[in-house]
Amino acid sequence: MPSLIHAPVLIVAVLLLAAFVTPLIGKRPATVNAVFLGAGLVAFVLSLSMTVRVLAQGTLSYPVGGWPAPYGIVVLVDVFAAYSSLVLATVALIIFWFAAFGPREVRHNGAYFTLILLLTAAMQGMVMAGDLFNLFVFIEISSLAAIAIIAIKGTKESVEASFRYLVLSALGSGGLLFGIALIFMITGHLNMDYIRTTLTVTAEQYPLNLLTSIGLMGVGFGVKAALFPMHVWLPDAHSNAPTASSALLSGLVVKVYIIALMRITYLALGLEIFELLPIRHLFLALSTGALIVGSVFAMVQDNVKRLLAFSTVAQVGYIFLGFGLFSQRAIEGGVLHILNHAVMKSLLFLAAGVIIHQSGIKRLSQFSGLGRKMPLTFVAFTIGAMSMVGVPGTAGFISKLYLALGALDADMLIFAILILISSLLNAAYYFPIIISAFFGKESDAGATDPAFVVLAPVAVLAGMVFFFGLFPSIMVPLVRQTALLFVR
Amino acid sequence: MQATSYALTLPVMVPLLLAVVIYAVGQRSWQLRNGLSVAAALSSFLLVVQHYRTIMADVTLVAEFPELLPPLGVSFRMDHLGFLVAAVVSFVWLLVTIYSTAYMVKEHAKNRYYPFSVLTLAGAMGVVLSGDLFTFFLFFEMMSLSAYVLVIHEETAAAMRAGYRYLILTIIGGLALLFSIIAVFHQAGGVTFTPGGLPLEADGLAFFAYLGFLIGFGIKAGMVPLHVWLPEAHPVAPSPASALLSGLMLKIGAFGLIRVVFQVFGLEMMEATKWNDLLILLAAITIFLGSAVAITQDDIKRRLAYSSVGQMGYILLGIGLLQERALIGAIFHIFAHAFMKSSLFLAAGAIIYNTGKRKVSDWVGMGRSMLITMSVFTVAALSMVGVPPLVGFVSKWELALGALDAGSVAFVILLLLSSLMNFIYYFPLIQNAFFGEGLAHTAQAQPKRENVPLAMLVPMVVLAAVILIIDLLPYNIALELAERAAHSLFLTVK
Repeated sequence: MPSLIHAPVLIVAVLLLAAFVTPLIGKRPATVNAVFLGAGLVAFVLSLSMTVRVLAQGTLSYPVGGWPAPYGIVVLVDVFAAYSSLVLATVALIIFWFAAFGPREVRHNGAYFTLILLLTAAMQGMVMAGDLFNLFVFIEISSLAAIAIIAIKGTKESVEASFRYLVLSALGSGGLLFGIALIFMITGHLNMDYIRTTLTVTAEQYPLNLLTSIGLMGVGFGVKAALFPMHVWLPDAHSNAPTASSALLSGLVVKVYIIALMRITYLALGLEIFELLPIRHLFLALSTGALIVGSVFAMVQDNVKRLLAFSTVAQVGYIFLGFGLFSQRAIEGGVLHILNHAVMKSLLFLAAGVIIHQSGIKRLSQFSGLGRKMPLTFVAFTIGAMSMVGVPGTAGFISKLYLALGALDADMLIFAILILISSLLNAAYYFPIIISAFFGKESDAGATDPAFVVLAPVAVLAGMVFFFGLFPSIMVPLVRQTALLFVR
Repeated sequence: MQATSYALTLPVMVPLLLAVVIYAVGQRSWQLRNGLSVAAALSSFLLVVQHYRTIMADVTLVAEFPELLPPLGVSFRMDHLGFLVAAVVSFVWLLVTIYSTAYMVKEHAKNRYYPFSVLTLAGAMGVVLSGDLFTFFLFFEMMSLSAYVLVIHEETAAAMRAGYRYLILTIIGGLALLFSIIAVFHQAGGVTFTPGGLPLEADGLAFFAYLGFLIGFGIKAGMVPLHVWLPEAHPVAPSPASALLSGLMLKIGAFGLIRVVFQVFGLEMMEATKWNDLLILLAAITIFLGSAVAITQDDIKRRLAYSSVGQMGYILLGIGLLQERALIGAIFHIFAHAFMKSSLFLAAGAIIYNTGKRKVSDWVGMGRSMLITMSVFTVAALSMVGVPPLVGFVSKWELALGALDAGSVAFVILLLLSSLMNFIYYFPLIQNAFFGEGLAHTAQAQPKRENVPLAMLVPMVVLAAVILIIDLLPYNIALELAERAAHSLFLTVK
């Protein structure tokens, strides 16, 4: 099909279009759901075909509207972008299903779907953007949509959490904008390719400007990706949002900023930046902090969604750790963890949402015996938790294996040990939940497994945890080539 | 000689798949569920012993799946050692499962017990038949985690506490193993079990890897000071599960250590670095402490659990001495102790089933009322003490010879001392059971007759019969296999 050449923009366009259509097509939920899921499905198919194409033919550079760079906007789909887009489209589609058929937590599904579609479109745009301006626009769309899908429940806590996120996120956006402006000042370009070529000449003339720009962008992305110690907004925001929002935010949104940051480093700044500046050491130090602090804080939580949110802080650390170690296997591990964590954290959030909705219980201390009443949901939760701990056969094990192997390749034994210790910490807060749910004293809360249509996305994600745990080789071509973008 | 045989995966895959089926049919028919559980163990056993002729022709079977789980891949391997341990594990599992069908009638949550027992079997078979460290680890974790469900089966407060301790130590052990495997892979570029060892350098990283293996397998094998979970976890499980845990799963830890010492690090490296001294030291402490503490226990299952700690010390010592005859003793003891400890736990279980009496001091006169059960117990206990010609004697004989080969009389004395302690904690119990005068008051009165179902009696008697006669046969197949296994592990050095 010749139209598939346009897949990169079509993915974003279809989602955007659907975002505007859903509130307009009336009150019939069936029609709204059909448009909503249809858009997700189309995006998934397009993303898959685009990935296949990129694997076969190499990087795809698409000038929007036929206008060439440096004046036109260029969408640049390399293996990393294709991989990210595919992960986004796949996991988003499953979450869409849950948003459509899962428990109703918001009053107007039409408006809610608009926000979700906007957020997804912006994320897709972000991972494929080939120029900084376009990237910034998508970052802003996604930030605002994310704030709205937290606040949409309208409860006091969710509004407060989203306001806090708004403030910090705006601060991050400010940093990003300023950083981008400085880059533009130095190079006169916003297209990443042109920035890199120009920087080879001008970087030496404006070292301080460049340094400031990188610092500002680092903080901007750090806040948005919830890199320790800039994660303070995340636990409230992710735990007070509706279930589908939490899964999207924790599973996908935080990672998109990491992807964007890494794309800027190798596309715009050039890999030399890793040798000139101690970025790797910063990543290593901060991700170590994230692993420990995230896990320790998760341990003392009593609200299940807050626990999952703190766990995300730690897991984001793994991805940064992969880039910080910077050996090929470590980067493969970090990149794989983008997928694996998206799958398992969405699984956990959706399962937790089902549990909360069916039983009305949020507190872990009251989970006792619930597993026997809703076995399917808790088995799914257990699978997600085992993957978090890194039990072999699950997806989480594969990322940890690659990261630990990568740590030794980078001659940093201590990080291999750190990864294993963090697994132990994960076990220390996930396993007691499962044990008390299955073997604890019966509670008097009445709860049952929900209908199949609600459980289906949870089951699919649980299946994916095992699938990617047993057949990681299916992702190897993409992940290996992505790592080769960094390590040559 | 090597040959490829994908049939090697069957003893693992059949129980793995049956575990799911058993869970599904368990809701509807308990007969089918019990039948399938026995069938899973039986088919596993038959699928192993069908390779008997090939193995005795000194052919090593392998099955490799390098595409699965890159970069390390999955592979299976059956040599003398693997064959012996796989046959022992599946055979004892079969008997214990038959025993369970009667014993578990009184228990709750049977639909959980059987699938997880079969799943644990699949894990154990996978470990024994794995061809590289990574595959080993995959199944090791599967086995350990599914065994958790067996440990906490009773769901009492004590069981949950013991189970939690077991779980945490299992995870720590698993992570230590994973670390070591990654370190080995990093240094040697592969993790396949290789006769003579992998090309490793004896540097700091390799030593850490060795420590990691020692911790990981030491926890599983109940090596002092990592044994702390064992005396808690084994007694709280239902008796057949205790038999599996104590009789078989501990051996998996020792089995892993043999693989690591001889086929990952290699004899030459171990001899050059003297790292085995640490293992010998810990083994000696384990033997002494396990046997000594067992004497003080009044709860029969706790006494048996501590006894297991001591017995595992023998096997660890046999590995650590790095002598061929000591290794024969260690490998033979894997077989011998599996049979002895399972029959002890099953006999104790039968007594608890019939009378509810867990305290040794309440067993006065038990032998007169429960003659068959106590006879089984006696045979196994005497074998533990090392009375010839029972199997326990052979292991001690080979171990002692191996110790002398290594030039240390001290270990021979330790073995004899430990035998004496075994005698002290088994003999008075047996004496009281058969010849003790029951105190007159009614609470101590023993049951009139032996009310134990046939499905429980037969497995116990079979186990005891093997203990009793295998050394009297003209062709001691277990010893032959142990000798060949040890020989091939030593042969590959030069």
